[in-house]
Amino acid sequence: MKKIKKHIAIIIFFISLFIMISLLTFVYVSKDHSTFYLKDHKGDRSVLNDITVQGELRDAYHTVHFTIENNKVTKNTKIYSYPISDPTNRSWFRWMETTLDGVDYEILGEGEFDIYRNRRKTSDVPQGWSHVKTDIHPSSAVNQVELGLGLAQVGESIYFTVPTTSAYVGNNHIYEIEFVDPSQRISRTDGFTEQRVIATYSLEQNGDSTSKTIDVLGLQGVGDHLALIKREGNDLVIREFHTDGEEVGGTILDNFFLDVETRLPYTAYLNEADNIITLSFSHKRDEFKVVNIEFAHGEGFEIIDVVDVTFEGELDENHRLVEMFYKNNKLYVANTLKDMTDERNFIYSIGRPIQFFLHVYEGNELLYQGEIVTDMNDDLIRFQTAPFSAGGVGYDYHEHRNFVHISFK
Amino acid sequence: MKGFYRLVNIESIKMLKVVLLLCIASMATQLLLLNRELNNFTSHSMIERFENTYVASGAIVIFLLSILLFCVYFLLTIYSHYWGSKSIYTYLTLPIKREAVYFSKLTAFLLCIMPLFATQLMTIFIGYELVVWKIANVTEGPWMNNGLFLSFIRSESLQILFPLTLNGIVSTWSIIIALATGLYYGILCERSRQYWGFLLIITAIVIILYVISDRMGSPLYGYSNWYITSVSLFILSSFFIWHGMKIVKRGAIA
Repeated sequence: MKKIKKHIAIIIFFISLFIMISLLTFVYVSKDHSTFYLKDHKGDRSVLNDITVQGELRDAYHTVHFTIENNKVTKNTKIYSYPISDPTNRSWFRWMETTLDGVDYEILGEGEFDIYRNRRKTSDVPQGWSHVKTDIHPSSAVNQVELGLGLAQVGESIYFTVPTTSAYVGNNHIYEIEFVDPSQRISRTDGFTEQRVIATYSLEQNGDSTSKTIDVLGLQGVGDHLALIKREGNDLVIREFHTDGEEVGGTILDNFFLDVETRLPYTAYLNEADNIITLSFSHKRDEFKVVNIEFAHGEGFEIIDVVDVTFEGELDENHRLVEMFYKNNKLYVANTLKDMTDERNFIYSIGRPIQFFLHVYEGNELLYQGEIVTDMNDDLIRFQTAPFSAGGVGYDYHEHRNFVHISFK
Repeated sequence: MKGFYRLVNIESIKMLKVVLLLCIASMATQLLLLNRELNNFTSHSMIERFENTYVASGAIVIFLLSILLFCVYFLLTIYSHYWGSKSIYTYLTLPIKREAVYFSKLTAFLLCIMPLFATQLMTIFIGYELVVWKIANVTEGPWMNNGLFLSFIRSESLQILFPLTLNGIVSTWSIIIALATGLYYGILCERSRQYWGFLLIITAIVIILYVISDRMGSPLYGYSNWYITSVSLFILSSFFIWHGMKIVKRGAIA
């Protein structure tokens, strides 16, 4: 007893240290104990053999990086040193923003446009500003267009054309954009460099009621070429430009917009390795018409497939996520859906569980449906159990896990 | 070294009884508060995340109170050398280096604060099991898989007390060391009438409050670099030790 008393300080210290280290190690190690597996709902998962899916499930405090390769799911959990401000990676101003090669761009203006590179400092690329003067003007009331769709990248170069509705007339251009340091900008025109016009195309027929109207939908870089995507009357028209501005061909999908349910704008996805652009147009509620266009050197663009995508469930509009990828005649779709099979009575609709699915289509046939099962719905516990008398529950998106950065290879 | 070890032991034994009492009282009160919070829980109640239930019960305040009481007790143990027996004179004439006298008190403080943190961690673990047990008993409703881990990374107070990242650990320990050295230095300054030292103590308090409010803040507004604030606290702590030791060596505290 005397001996213990002689060393009591150090004994107490080591016991405390042992308790703290073992309990905190237990907590730290349990970061890998989250649920994360692929559950087959329909078909054979071997159809995923051709691709690799990567992504993150994250909140502001931690992220689970996952990879699905050869049908197997692997995950790696990381706790952020500093909680991140925007875990949802949501674009609040989707119509004027785009991301090319991991760099964010913002486009602002009407008639004349300011293009900002990395304005919110989301990547290490230097910030940039560019000003574009145009030769187009509206002839009637103008509807909102998605300006972000007008920006494209080929190699290191950025190109821009102004997406327009059929209300615009004049000559539209494809510009090669040169960025300058935005700190040099004092007024709108200071530091302004005239952007190089590489190609010009006319919108004059919009003023002629006997001709097909033209909507410029966007510009996409594929391989070392640019695809100008337009709607002419009811046709979907793809024009092919070389980066020196030479128009080298194109392709048309006749009467694609004849069905009035097929709506603009579209979302574009790129399979860079196979030079395939996938254009997804909304069609009715929670359905898509997906046009897949392949670019082959020497042969130009060819529409290889049109797929009707329908889901059994409702898209989750709070955190809308749809990613697509076309490879080997199959369309791979990753998306979140509300779980409508859950029969519980949800007083707060946000409490309804979300499911993350992988869908594989060949033609219009759904070959495979698999779900990545996670604990993300546990975060909705308050919304699922709050009584009506609670009078509302606060939602903090920092404390809810969501899927982001989904990519296919 | 032997003298220093013996002194640390003597100082620690003096404080240990009170520390262990604080540990037991803190754990018991916290669990009682948590239980009281859960008493109102029915099958129709909203199921809260553990960290929210824990904070709402007021348990975290009890822990902070126990730390505060420990600091006050530490102060009293030092001032007791000046009252009654005036044992400070004995201390300063002991045949050991005065650095050892200085460090023995500081080390004893840090050694004795450890059981408080270890008990707090055990309280959180027991509290979590209590909440899980209660919810499972009252309702068949959902519960969060891996909820304890999520609490540790999502709760601001748990992140500060028991961080799981390197920058968080460095920051937390810089605060604890600055508190310990600053508190001790404050007593030495007061005893030696070197009141200007309080300016630096106030600086340390301002930095600590800034770090805590920064770490408690929403991720929406971003964070300052915790390594920079930690280094500034370590620099201040080093000064407190260096100057505090100088005061003790000079015997200016007698």
